[in-house]
Amino acid sequence: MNAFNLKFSLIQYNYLVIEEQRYFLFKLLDNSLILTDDRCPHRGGPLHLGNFNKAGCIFCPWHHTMIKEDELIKRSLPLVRVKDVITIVFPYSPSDTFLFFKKGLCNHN
Amino acid sequence: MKILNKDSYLTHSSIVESFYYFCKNFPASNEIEITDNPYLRPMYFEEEWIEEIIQNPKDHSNQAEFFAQKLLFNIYEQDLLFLPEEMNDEKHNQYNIFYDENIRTAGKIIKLILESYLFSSLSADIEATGPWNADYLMNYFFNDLKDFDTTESQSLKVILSSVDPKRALDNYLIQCCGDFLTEASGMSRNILGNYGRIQSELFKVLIDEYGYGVHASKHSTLFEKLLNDQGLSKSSHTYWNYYLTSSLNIHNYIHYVSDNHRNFFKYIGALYYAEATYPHICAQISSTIKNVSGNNAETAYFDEHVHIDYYHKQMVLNKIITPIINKYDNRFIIDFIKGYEEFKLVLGSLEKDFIEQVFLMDSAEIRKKEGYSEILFSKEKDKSTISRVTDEDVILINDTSHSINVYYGYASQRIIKSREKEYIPRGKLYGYVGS
Repeated sequence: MNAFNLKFSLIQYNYLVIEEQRYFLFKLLDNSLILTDDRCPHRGGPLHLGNFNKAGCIFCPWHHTMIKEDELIKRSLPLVRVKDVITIVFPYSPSDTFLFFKKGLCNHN
Repeated sequence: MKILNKDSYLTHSSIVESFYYFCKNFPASNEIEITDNPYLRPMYFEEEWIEEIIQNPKDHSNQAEFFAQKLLFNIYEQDLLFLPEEMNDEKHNQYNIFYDENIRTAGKIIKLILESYLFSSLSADIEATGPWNADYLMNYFFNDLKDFDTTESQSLKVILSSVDPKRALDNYLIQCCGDFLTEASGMSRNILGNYGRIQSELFKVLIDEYGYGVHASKHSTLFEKLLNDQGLSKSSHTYWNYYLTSSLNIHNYIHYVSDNHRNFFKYIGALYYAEATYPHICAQISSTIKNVSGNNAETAYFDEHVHIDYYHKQMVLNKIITPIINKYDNRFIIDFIKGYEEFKLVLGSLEKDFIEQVFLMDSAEIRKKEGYSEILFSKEKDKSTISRVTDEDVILINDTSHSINVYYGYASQRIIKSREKEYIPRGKLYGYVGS
């Protein structure tokens, strides 16, 4: 597998689009940060606009499908945070296009 | 990590007493540089610093942090054996005090508090999450390191551009003394026990560091030769007063992740970063030494690392990290990453600290700044030779009728005449030669 390290500031960005894939930063109940797939596994709804409960599950805004924390982790990218800088490792070629955004996200805080 | 919780069997007063009991055995010395006595490590402290260390607020004061680094360094080094070249009754007595069971016990009591104070924020600065596996980890390391061999050490650049490159180089080497003169002592903490083939692979790295029992090949011996060639003392902690907070932090970090085996996998991550980056760094240091001291200057210590750490990098990755993942799956990958990144941050902080210290030694023009807090020398609580730092930029005013002599490192002193002022930036090391 060839993978690349992609760095960005979590202060500047919290949403990433790589080709057709969409990811958003999400803080888990234990305060750890993941960059997880934004598409609901049900019909692809935008999870970053969902609601969450005290157990850390996200409810998709389209059909209220519940996604548990362990599923969000499985669907996340390997991430390293050093202070405010995020590095993700992803198996794409450098020619792939990626876009960063700052969006209003669902979160615990 | 909260030490003083409701379940703690230690009371606040017993912890404070342990601080005092330990510290009183490291009193001030008349000498700034202490030759051939590894037991003399003077420390000065104030009660409020102890309270800060125990409470561990989000923002640390420079003074308390400097004191905490020195204190923790001494606690770790009580586990190592130091013997002077020559023994006499006074040193024999100091030897007995340094390794005294009661003092060591007091040190063990406060060690956890100091580790929490010094390293909990470092731990909070770094996290790794997500579905890591061996492939992702190898890619992460490879991508992170691929440009490293083209980077230029800023510290070494500053040495060459200093108004006194030899002085700057000496002070750089002095920052290395704490670790290099006891090289691989932290690593050796991880050698004991029984953990299979990985243990033997780590042992192979260790025996390289210790020169396979041939004293002349031992890395610390090579470093002693280099110090000697540069006209510096090779005895441990002669330059105790010149150690910067950030260099003490490096040595302490290695002991911290090696002392408690819960951090073993972080240690391996830190070791990999060290072995992967040292060949390039050491090549630059070797070249800098030759540049400053001539082509015949002794550089075998750094040349040896350029050579052997190339192998150590492969050994740590292929014979230690990969077998651990093969054996235990992905569960320790996050610890490898944390140790790797933590050590990178710790090393990076020395670069900045050292450069600023050289600027302080070099620059006369920044010394006349106005508008900062003022310290009257006569009001200084401690006028001993012990090195210190300040929490803010200050103007030191010599309000006495005589001159005072201030040092900023090795071979860097300035006389401040009566009524004269001296600018001292926050967090930078200084001390009094005598009053």
